[in-house]
Amino acid sequence: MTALMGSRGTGQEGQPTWWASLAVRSASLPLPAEHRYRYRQEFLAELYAMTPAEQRHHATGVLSRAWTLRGALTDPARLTPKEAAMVKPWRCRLRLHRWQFLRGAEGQVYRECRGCGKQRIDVYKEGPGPMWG
Amino acid sequence: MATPRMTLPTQLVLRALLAEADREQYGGELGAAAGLPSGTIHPILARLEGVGWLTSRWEEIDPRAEGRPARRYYQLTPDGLELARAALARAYSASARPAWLRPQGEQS
Repeated sequence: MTALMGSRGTGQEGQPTWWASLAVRSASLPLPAEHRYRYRQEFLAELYAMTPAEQRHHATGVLSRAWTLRGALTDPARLTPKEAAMVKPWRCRLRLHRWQFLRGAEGQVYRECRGCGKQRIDVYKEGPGPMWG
Repeated sequence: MATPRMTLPTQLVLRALLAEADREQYGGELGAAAGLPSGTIHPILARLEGVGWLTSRWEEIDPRAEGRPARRYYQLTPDGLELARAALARAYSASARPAWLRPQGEQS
């Protein structure tokens, strides 16, 4: 396995490129010593079967979140403000949700935003409610 | 067992785990299923594993035969499965209903 982990691919799909490999190895450096080997192997394994463009995207993401991962490993209950605020699409922050109407297990109709997963139950009528909020 | 904060990314990861609760998934697969950007998934998985909701193990393959290293696979623990379902239900009910519609005693 170690030999595979250490290979410097040629950039073909299925083999990590040398810079993606270097980036994810670097991402494991800030981690606590007892977790470093595990995550280095895990990050490297995920590069396989990716195209070079996907590897670049993945390696950049992993590298940029290395200190967040360190925080999660040292204190699982801690949450950075950035993480709490991230991901929610700007449309949803403006309450311009993209609702889809679904039916629950008991037959009740509810709507769920495709962007952020927020759910609403329309209690007054079966049909669509206001498309904002 | 401690409860992680139910941020939106955490909820998305739990939904992806619950959708395939009977099989193990690796980090990249979970990140894609949850629609999270690369690098975001591992801190969340580490937190969930740290509080005991998740368990993980190395894939049992021959790396030379497969042509790739073993992946790390994650799955909800039996306790984590129940706690995740309950936490998601609480998160959705709290966000979906205004305070005056909630049953008495339910916290927001």
